[in-house]
Amino acid sequence: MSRYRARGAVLPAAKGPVLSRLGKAAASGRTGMLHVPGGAIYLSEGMVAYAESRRTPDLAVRLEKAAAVAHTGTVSLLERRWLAREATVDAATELLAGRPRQARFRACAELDVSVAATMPLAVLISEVSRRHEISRQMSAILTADTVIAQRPRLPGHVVRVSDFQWAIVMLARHPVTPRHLALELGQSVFGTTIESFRMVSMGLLAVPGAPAGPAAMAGAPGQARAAISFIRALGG
Amino acid sequence: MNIETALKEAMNIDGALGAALVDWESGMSLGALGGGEDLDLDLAAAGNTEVVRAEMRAMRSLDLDDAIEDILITLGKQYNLIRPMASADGVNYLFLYIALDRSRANLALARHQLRRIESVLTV
Amino acid sequence: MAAFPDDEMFGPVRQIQGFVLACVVDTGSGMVLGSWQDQEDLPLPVAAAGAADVVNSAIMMTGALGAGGDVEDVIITLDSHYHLIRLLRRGPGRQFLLLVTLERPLANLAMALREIRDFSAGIFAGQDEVA
Repeated sequence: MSRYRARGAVLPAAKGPVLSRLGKAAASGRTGMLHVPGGAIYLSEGMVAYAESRRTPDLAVRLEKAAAVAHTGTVSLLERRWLAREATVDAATELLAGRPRQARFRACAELDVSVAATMPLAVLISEVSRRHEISRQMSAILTADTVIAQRPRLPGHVVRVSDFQWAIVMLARHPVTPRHLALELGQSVFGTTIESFRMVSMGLLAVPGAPAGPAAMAGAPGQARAAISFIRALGG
Repeated sequence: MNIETALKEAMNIDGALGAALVDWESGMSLGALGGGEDLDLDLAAAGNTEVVRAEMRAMRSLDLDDAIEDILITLGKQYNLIRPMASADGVNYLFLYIALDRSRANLALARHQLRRIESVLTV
Repeated sequence: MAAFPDDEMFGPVRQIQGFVLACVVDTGSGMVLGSWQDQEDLPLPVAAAGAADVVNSAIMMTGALGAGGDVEDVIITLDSHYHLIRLLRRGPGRQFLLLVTLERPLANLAMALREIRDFSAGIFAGQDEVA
């Protein structure tokens, strides 16, 4: 099956003092936490077990919100696993965005974690890099800390939105940032920023004070040239 | 077979709600038939264009030799069938699109009929 | 390296004739939740990203389709492969997709679709626990 030759799927290697300390701890199978400005990354026997950041919702609030909106009031194992991974990746994406220079690793004997939520460091770094690239592509329009608001005039064509997207549009009745919405909704800052971006391209939200961008930003679905492409985020 | 005849034949397929020949470079239809309250053909053409572009982008990234034969989108009550047009010189940005009522359409038959129409259509 | 390689999760699907790869992807963020491929011929992150882009484009289009309903699956037929994408919904708003890629000569599409629909229906069921 050598007819496939991939290109553009290689992501930048981890660099910097924090990542190198993390890399060494992971490679030696350490257990403990790496303190970085704004939060911490937890390792269990060299695998990433969890990460937390002041600027992203923690796992407890995510689980609570997920259970609240689920029809059954419960969260399946698969979804729970996804929530744990999402909490970790969202926090790590935040912590590693500013290329932190300081880190302190504190070892401990063992960590009480769910094995299902652990991931190899390389996988975490790869996903964090992917998210940084998507954030970079969105930054021309908005970031997690850009104020957004409902558009005074709704688009003239029919749009369908998910419940999450609807919640964002409704809460943006008053100017607010994607980060603020994420913390309130118990959703990832990254995910909320992407959905806010999509709502801006669909003409439901606007960035107050921004120049009236290209027609595509308030246009019909077919003109969504500003739409996010995950293939483009991989360099494709 | 010309565009008009091709679209008429497409609309004769059981369950057909609308059909169009779309240029996926621009998202605009060269011809369209059917549609109505339940189906905005212009918007559907533009939307299906994005679907085709997304798949093309993915295949370019994979450096694939594989060509798209068709794309079927199953919705609660509709099928959307997209058939890119083959072209001898490789320069072709067209696809045939048909929306079908799921309760009335025979999907296997519809795919087969659309394939036949695409093969005899000359633009 | 495959993200979250998960042979157990994809057990039934790996048995499908012509199986190449499978993954579950969060359509919102593009993150791969779990994946499996027998060989590393096809870069899974790229296949996953492509599937998410296709699904998001299809979902964006449903506004034009009136009462057509929500996207349930997308089947991409290429010269030598099928990409079968099934939407997995758990409660309001959260959309994951299941992508299964099959080699065409070996695959029986009708059977594969039945397998995938059964697998999708069961993927969230039977595992509930109190949050």
